[in-house]
Amino acid sequence: MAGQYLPVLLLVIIASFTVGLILLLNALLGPKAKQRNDFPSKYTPFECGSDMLEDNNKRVSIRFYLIALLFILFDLEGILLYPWAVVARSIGTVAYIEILIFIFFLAVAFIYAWRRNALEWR
Amino acid sequence: MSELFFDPAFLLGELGLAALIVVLTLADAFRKPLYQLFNGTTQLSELEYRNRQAGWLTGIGFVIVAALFIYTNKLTGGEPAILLHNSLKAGGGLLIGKLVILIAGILTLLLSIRYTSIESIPGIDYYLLLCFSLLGALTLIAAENFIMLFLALEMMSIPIYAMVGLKRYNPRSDESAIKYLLLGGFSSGFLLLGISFLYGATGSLVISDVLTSLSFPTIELATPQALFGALGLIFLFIGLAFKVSLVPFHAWTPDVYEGAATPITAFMSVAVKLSAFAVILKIFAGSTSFGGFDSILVGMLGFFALITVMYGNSVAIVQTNVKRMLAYSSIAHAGYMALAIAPMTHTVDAAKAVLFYGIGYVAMNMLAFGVLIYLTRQNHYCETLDDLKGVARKFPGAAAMMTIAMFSLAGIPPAVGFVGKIQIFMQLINAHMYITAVIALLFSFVALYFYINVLVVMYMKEPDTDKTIESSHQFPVWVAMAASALLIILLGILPTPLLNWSQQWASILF
Repeated sequence: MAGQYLPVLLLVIIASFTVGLILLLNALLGPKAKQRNDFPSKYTPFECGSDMLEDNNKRVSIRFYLIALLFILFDLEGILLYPWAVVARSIGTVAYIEILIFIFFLAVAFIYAWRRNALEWR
Repeated sequence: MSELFFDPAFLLGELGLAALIVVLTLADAFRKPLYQLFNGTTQLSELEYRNRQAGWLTGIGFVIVAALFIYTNKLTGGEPAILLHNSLKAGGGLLIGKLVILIAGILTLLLSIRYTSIESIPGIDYYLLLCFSLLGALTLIAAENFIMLFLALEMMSIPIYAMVGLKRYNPRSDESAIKYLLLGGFSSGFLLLGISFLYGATGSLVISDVLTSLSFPTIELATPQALFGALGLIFLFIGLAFKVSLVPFHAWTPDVYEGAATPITAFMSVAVKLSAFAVILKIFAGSTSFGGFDSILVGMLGFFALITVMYGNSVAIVQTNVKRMLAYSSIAHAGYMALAIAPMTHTVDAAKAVLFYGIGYVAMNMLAFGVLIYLTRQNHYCETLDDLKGVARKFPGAAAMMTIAMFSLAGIPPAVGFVGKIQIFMQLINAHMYITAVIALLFSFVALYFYINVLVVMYMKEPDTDKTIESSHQFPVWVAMAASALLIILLGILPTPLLNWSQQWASILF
């Protein structure tokens, strides 16, 4: 009974090992800060992305909106393919035709976005 | 009624419309090569030429879809069926409703072909959104399942939010789009809350199953199940009342109707309203009686409907903008339609009266807005009563059309509005709701004032000289106006065919 949790235990061990290795390598090989001002971003919780505390009324470029819309287009396609792949073999040809129709509609939307220059960063 | 998983024969029209959407999308994607291919020796600007191309392409598509609906009827022998595991009803009398909504779409298209060029709206985007919205409306009236109902309602509404804001350089249009989007989202929230309560109470999402288990005599009234069922029904009603703009959920209507492009206003006021009413009828006026809860619903519906009639008709009097006036008048008309089901008699007759009124309303509102579109010129909106001053001298045809529309909206025989009002009041009188009937009747006399006022301004005021410029390419608008005027008069004199059709449509809702 407990044996079926063995993969989880393995995952935990491998994950801890990998993270520990990376931290160790970082400590050994990374540049050392002599004083706090050498690497200010070292002292933030996340060393990339935006600052943790900032004004939330910041202006965001409208161009990101288009990117977000297109992301939905591809994201939907990707996410629907997973459950489809699980049941595709048991349903057979019908599933294949249905997913082709779905991809066709997405392809039409993609061609539309592409021809209307939505993919260019303007 | 047969239950099938999927039979394309029943959904030919919808599949045709989906194919049209794909064709239009691809045509838009490759518009530059297409324009160069077909551009002959024309004096039109590129935008206007493209808009006309797109308009005729969409028009041909709509005619093919209409033909497919008629062919479906022949193919299936007029027998309805339930498709996709209790999700969609198709065929039979439903085809009448679908044809009516499609005709509203065709009239909108005819009114838009010139208007889009005047307002520099990119035509093909506009027609695409119109097709999406139509597909949503066609699915909405056929939905048999709450999930399908919600999806269809959103598919109908979201393109309209965008269409309202298509006059991009006009701040009023932007304002109305945001207003409609926010309030539309709010009403969708109510609708979803209602659906989740109903699911909690009954454990089903199929509309007929939900209604059967909520037929209140079978369950105790003080149980949580009955409580959440009642709450669910009320929230569902509120969500739908937003769409048909019953008072007190009407606040968006005047601003949105004023800010939107006029053909879109016309489309919203007829197609959206009619399909949302079809859903209200299916859930609230269907054959399932809610037992003791019925009397609460009678009070609620009767109160909302009567307030709507009173408010819409009294506020319309003081409007100086014709589009705003027609917005308040459309609020009042929604009130009349809701009055017919207020007695909660659960008979086909009540649903028939509402659908008859709604179909007649398609013709009369399209005509009224059509005249406004006909009189719109480049850099000159025809929206206020001042703009209509003395129009009858320069454009007697348009003034005559406006007369027909106003008489029908006011309910003067021989127009179709008169027959519709008789149907509504007959429902109230049969249910012995005499006081309600008398109040509603008095307020339709009030309405007479502002409808006739438009005609007074058109026929008896001095015209302004700079507002009488001729404009070319009015042929599609004329076709739409003539068709609606013909329908109003013909159906007003011979209402029997339309009564039969609305009877068939009503009976399939049950």
